[in-house]
Amino acid sequence: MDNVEQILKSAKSKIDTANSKQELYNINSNYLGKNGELNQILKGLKNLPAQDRPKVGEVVNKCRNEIENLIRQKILMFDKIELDNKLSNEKVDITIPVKPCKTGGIHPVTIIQNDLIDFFIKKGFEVKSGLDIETDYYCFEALNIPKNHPARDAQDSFYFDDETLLRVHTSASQVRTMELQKPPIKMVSTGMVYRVDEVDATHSPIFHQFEILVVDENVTMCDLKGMLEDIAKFLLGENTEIRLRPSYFPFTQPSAEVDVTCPHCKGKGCSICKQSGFIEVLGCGMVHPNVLKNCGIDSEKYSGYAIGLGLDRFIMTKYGINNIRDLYENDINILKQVK
Amino acid sequence: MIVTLNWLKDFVNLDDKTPQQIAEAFTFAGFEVDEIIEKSKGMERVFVGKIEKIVKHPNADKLQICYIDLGNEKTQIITAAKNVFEGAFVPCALDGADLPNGVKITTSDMRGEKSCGMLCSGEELLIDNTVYPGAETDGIMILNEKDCYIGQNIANVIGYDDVVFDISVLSNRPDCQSVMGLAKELSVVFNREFKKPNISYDRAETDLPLTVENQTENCLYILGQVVTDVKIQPSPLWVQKRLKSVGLNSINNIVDLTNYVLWEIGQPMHAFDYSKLKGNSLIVRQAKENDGVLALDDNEYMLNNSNMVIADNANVISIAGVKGGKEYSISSDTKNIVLEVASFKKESIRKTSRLIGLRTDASSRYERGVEPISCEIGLDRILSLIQEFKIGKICKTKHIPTKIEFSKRTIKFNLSKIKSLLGIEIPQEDIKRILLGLDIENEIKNNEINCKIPLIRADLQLPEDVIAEIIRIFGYEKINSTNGESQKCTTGGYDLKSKTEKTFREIMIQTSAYEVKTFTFVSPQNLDKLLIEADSPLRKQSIIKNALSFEYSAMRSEMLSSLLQTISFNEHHKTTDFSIYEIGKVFELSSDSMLPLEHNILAYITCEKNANFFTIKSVTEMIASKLNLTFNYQKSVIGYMHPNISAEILIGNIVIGKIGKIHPTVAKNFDINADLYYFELYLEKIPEKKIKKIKPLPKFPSSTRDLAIIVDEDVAVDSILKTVKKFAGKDCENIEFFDVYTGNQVEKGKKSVAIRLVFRKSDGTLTQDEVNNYIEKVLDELEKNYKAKLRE
Repeated sequence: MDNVEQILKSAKSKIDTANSKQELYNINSNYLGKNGELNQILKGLKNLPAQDRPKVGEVVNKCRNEIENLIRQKILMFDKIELDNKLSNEKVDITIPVKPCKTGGIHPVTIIQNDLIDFFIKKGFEVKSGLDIETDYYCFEALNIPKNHPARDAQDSFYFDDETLLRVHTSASQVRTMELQKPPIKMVSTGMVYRVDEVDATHSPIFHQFEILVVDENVTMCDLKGMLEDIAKFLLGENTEIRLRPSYFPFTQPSAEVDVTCPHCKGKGCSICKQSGFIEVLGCGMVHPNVLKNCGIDSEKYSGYAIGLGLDRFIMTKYGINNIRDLYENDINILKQVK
Repeated sequence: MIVTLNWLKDFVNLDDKTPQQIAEAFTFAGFEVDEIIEKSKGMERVFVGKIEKIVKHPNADKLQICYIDLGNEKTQIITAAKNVFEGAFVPCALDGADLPNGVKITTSDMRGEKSCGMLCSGEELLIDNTVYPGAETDGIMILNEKDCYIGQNIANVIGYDDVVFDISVLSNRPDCQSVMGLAKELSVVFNREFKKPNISYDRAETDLPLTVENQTENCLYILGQVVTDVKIQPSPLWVQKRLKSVGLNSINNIVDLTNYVLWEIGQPMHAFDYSKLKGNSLIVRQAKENDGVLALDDNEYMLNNSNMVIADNANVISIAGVKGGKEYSISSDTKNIVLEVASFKKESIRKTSRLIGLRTDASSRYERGVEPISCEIGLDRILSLIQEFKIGKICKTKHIPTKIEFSKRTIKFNLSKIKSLLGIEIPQEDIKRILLGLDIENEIKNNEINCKIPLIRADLQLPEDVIAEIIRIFGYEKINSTNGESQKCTTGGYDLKSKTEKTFREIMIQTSAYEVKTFTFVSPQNLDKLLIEADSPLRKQSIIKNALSFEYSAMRSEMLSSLLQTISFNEHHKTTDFSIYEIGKVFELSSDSMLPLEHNILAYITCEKNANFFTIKSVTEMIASKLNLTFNYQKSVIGYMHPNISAEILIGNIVIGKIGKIHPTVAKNFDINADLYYFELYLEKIPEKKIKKIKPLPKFPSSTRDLAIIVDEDVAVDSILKTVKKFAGKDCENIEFFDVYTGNQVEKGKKSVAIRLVFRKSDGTLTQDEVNNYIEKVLDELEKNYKAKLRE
């Protein structure tokens, strides 16, 4: 027994003074290995009286566990020191600039189209694709713009022949939708529209519109105004206010121009809003009964509203673009900045 | 439309309204005010003063003290000007004046003497000799005492006492292309009395012979009226001033009055010299071939049958509704005149105005619409003014060749329609007041309203039109905001085309390319630059008749040229090494339908430095994988691509796209230096994405074998892979190509293809023998098919 005490004591002192993991491995085999000191004692058990054997065995095992534990702990300690040393030598200058991992980008028009589509999908609207080349009927006639109507003049259009032209507004898609679908109708449509305009800083013969149409029972101008407020806040922020002014479009009655709080000066008045604090952004109105009739919808039972939003000016405001050419020249150095 | 405040005040009392309040009233009634010009700005504190006495300044050689009578007060002002004299009438800027040139005037002490203001030069008031004769004199502006009185505001003296409004009149309101029409609107908005213009005159008992004929249906109504014993002279000053303030030149009293009535009432009219009429006749007819006229603008216009003219028995007098002829115009010798007042079809005037390239104050009103009833009002008004000015005798007969029965249209509807359209209630008394203010007589019985529409308001046809008028005046700001809770619930979503587009847009975000948007109209020459054959279907382009230029005249039948132009643009701006794509439309003329077919396509091009066929194919393969589809590539000769590096992309046997290297000649045609790799996909031909069930993770280990086999160089890797796949057995989980090698290590004309096969059983561990059997079978077949040998 004393022997075991002795062994434990000497092992402890050796473990204490060990300076490397290798020393610990040696201590381990010297004391606990096959021919280690403890095993020697166990081998001698057979010479002891039978009644003493369990007791001695127990003491030996206890000693073995203790030595094992001490060695393990000391090894863990060496491991930790080793790792700490390694880590302290691994250094990077985290301030060194790097190029961002390579990605592409989407066009600003697509970004705003996607945003608006998400907004309207949540409100239960269906996204309809329209045609760029339309017939006179869908672009004008069905929208209550008969031949020789002055509104046709104002929107000088590109013609292919007497009957076909490039759409001057996305409103053409209204008619195609209403012809095929009965109320309730909630649809949006977006795409390129075309007007005869030379390219300069503020004009482009091709630009983008977003059309919104709701037709159902009991749709009122108050619903229209509510929707306009939602759109304005969605696009320009919670503090955006709108104001409606009477206007004239052949396909709506009553019709309105909508002004919103000038996003440049937040309504304080600046050169962009001509000191009025508001800028004009879109036209809208209650669907004209003749348009409903042309699409086979009972204008006594149903009413609706339509909103036509020009996207380009919104995008230019949002990204601080002053020249509309920047949207369609596709200079990579501009596109790179669009997020 | 330009109107002035003073002219508006003839019809409605606006004394208590500022120009800004008036502009706001216009704007919120639907008449946007583009500009307000207050010419009197800065002259509010400048008055006419008479210099009573001039004394030399005791302490300054160059200064003089002027003692001035301002009417209700006397004051003293010090000046350095030398041209002042006792008794002179001069403009005096008093304390507090903020002059047009920006100078602020205060009472001050000048070397011990008080100066209570400043005597002004024309320059300081920003006026020149055309505004007031003598304004450009060096020194103080000396006023003509006959033109002014002591104490009068200077703006008033020089005719700057008016405010000009430039107003956009919407196309449905031709009746408001006049001072009277706009004043009427203000009277309703401000809820004030509308003062009708003076209409009263007497006709003589006598007549001069005249026949008026209407020979064309493009003339809806025409009135002829002879006025005798006219005295041609300059108009009264106030008429001249008014015309000038709206941008019209004064000619003589008769011509000025026709212009005055045009502006005031909105009715264009013409005065001709009666003595020049051949056969005492006035005819409105379509022009004949070779009809021509020397107009008042000294230009000779040749006309054809689509133009309307006013003529006599022999000649064309004027281009109807557009411009008068010179020969028949009023001169200082004119004794008797004929007034011609008409209403024409809008489209006829528009056509003529376009054809001859001349737009006048008359034609722009006719283009928008002048109602027949307006002729009556216009004629009455000019005759009243002629009588008032005592410049002519009005003959007995008013000539009316086309009789019209003027009767008012009625519009009837239930008042509940107002609430159901607008969503708000409007009190009945407001409805009645607004409509009456707009001259719409109305009666309400049992909640039904019956409206009598004034003849001048052709725009009002339906109940909705009347309701729009009510809310326009009642105020759009009174509309509440609701969120449509009464509407039925709808689910929303995408139609097929939009959905496809959305799918591809979402996939393409994962590439490192930039999306572009290019014009859909292009130059027809782009196809030549792309080396497209003459008989290619791409040549069937829709051509815009009135294109901005040749460069923008054809609807694109392909998207490649748009992308090439974008690359070229960027290369010229020194931007290189990038990839771009567009998802958009191409157009194809169709013999079956009136409209061309519109195809959605995705086109992608790269000019990245290390791009090659495989980097671009990896993009199409990414797309295929995202859609759970398999794309096949079939080598194909495509004119605008490299003859050996070009392929069609197929799903099954349907061509869904093209891929390859752009032919260097094509790149050169677009002025591009970089090597270009390109693909396009036809979105409508690609099936919708199918969701595949997720495979459970394997339970048993796999076994991998790499094979390097030697085949002839022209054996396509794809066909080798297909053979391997076919014969690798049921336990082959994956076949992956990983390398191809040609060079010293293999025989000339041969290549080494490295393939990795992965085997796995779902119900147990594969044995080496099983795998060896599979490999043997594969090698056998490869040898049979391609004489393939295992590389040593």
